[in-house]
Amino acid sequence: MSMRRRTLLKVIVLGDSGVGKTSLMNQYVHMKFTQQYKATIGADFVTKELQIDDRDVTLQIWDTAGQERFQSLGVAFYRGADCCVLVYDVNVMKSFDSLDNWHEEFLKQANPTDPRTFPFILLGNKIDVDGGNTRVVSEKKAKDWCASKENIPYFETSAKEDINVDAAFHCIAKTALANEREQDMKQYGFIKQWRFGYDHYLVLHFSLHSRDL
Amino acid sequence: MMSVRVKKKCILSKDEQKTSQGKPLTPTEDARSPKGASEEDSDDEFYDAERSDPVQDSPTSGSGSTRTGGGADDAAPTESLFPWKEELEVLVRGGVPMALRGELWQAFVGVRARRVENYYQDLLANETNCGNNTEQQRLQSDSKGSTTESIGGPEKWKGQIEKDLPRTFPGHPALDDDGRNALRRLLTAYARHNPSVGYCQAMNFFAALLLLLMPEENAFWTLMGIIDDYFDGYYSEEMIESQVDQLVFEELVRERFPKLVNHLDYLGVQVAWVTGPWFLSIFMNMLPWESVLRVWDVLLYEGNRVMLFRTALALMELYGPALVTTKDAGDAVTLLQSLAGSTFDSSQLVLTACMGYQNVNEKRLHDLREKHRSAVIAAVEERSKGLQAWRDSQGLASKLYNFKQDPKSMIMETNKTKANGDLSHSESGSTNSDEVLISLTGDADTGAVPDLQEQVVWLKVELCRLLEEKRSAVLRSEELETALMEMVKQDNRRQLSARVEQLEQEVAELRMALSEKQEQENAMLQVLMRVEQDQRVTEDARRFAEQDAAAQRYAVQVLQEKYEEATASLAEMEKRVVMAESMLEATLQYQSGQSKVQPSPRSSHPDSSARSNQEPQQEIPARKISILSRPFGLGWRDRNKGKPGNVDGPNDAKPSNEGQNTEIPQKDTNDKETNGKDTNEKELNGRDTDDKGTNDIEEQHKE
Repeated sequence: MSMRRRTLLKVIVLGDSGVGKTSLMNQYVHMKFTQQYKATIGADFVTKELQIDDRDVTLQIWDTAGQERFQSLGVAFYRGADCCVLVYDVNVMKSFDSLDNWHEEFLKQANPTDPRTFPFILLGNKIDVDGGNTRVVSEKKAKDWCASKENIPYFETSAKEDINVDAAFHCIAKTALANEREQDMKQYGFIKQWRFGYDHYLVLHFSLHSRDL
Repeated sequence: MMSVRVKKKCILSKDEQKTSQGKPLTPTEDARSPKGASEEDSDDEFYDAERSDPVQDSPTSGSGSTRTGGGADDAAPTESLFPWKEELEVLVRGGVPMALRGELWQAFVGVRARRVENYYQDLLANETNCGNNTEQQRLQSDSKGSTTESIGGPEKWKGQIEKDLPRTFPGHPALDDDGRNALRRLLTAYARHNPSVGYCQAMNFFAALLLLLMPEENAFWTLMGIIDDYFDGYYSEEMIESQVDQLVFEELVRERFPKLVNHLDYLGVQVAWVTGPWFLSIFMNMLPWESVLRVWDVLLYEGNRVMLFRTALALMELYGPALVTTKDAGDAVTLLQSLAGSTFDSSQLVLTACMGYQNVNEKRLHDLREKHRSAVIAAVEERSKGLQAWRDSQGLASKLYNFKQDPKSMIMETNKTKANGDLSHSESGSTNSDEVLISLTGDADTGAVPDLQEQVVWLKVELCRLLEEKRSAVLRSEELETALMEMVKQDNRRQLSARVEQLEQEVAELRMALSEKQEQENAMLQVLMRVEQDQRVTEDARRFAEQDAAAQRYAVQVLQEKYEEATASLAEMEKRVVMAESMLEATLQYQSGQSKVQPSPRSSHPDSSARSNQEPQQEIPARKISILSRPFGLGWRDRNKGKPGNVDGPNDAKPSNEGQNTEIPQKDTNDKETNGKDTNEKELNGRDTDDKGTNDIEEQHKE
């Protein structure tokens, strides 16, 4: 009887240029990896449908351009996001250092209702490169950073070798869904319940009338 | 070859004029290029002498201004000079031949007028020959113009350029190592030429395309023309013009395709999500190659960004109907992206763009841009300010966080710095508070150097104490604030929980009411069904009863008829009995008389004598015989038994038959002379042939 509602979740992928945002997205959505990616201009967009706890969910993933100046165009993209994915390259310290900047920039521009609880996820990408010998950001360092930001979940991934990509995006979807639910509860809970009651009243009313006829 | 050159020159000069005419604000627009040049001069003083750019620029700008001053209708002078302008426009819109594209694009952009000998080489030489010294010099000169760029310096572009080199048309055969090196040189040179833009992603694609079409240096000048003139302010750090254009475009779409925009609004889609990347990349990677080149032909020929808008509007026109059918934001964006990517009919696109949107011109766009620019600038300023404020507050928070986390270590650190100020320099802390501390100690250092070491120490101690005090005060205030927040939250929570409880109760009540109602409904339903069943049964019974009644009524009617017939026939028979008795009496009397007179002759010829004299008397015995013997009557009755037509049954057959039969003698009595014989014959025949008799009787009965 109850119709299954498809939930739309908007996910923004942020991070320095060249950390592999597009690759991660492509690996997740198209199960493909190529060395030959074009630089993303402005933003790119893909969708992926999946199921979380028996709920149909459509992930709208916005892949953004990494160059800092494109942030000024971010307002249009960030607004209404359900989750923000931060990506850095474990082999490039600078990409880790600028996470703070991305984090702030996002919160500033997306302007979520509660910045403290807005869901972020951190992905440390390219763990496959050179067998991890070129790695400069340790897992501990990344986790410490996550702990300092309301304990955001952390995944170490490789878009090339397809390590942890699905798990990471699943977590992203779940977190976004939880956030969306919370928002729903806060904002529309009453209305929904009222509507539920009203619909039933109508049905009852109608059925009684039809009997009379 | 020469003719092409000459033609090119003409186009070139014409183009220069056109750009100046096309822009209503010629003074400012024209002033820009010399201004840009002067900026360049300030950037690199060395090349001042070699630069002939301003000299070349001045005549064109001069002619431009006179032309615009001469008349508002700019078409007239142009046409007088170049009567084939329209023809050329048509040709360009029809698509420039691939072999000439490089040359023509250079002509459209005005490479000849821009070109300065050795400028490109010098920009590049800057990197290779001069080491850090020049870099620093450049930095200093940069800082005059824009302080922001000087922070990152050329390294900032370099890193981004290096990242993007392999990501520019990856796998293209022309972009091998040499090709990539050329691309690197080109982008680096441009970044140095115009530090306010530096390098912006998307330029790598433009540069690569130009490199595929023309020699490296020409590509540089073309790129410079496109970015500096066509897309001035587009790719700079703030990207203000780009944002302005998106607002302008949205307004145009809103005006042209209200239905589509309504739908997109409903889905929560902003047109800029898709068109932003279109504009920034000038459709590169967004449309099929052929279409991109055709759009570039017109765009470069026209000398402004009008073609961007026209093309985007044409795409909206082409794909709007499909977009209106989408159900959610994701579908809409994906569809528009994929449809744009399959716009293979480049001629249709360019034609729709150029012919369909002629009223979207530079003047109109200029007005619209003016309208929206202030909002964008305000937003950008607010953003940078807000971001700064945000960062400050975040910095404070993180400081507090650190302080809370480990106050002892912080104090230790401060102690350490107190003991040895220089040491803290080497310890480049990762937290903001440390940086603050370092900078402060650094300041203290420089301030105290001329005086005594003790003073330094004392100042440092004082500073640290103050800092700590401030920190504790801030901490206290923060704590109070959080406590307050907590209280407010708790209060809220209590209220909310009360509300939730209340709502839950309501819901429970509603549910109960619902279930009760449902039960009632079920009960009513059952009763209703029972009643309906009963009703159906009674209805059936009634119908059966009605049928029975009808049948019985019919039977009664039939019986009544039979009864009437029977009584009638009884009456007849009684009459006949009376008649027969009287006749019998008469006969007996006669016989008694006859037997006395002549007993023998009657027995020998009874028929002949009777017929000649006493016909009626003769007849009666015959009749009597017929009545009494009833051979045919019974036969008729037997026959009727088998026939379904006469449902009257065997009961009424006899009386009716008798009735019929009795009628015949009645007739006989009425006219004995005429019919007597016939009936006699009939009777005789009837006795012989049963069939005939029955038929007759049937006919009579029917009548």
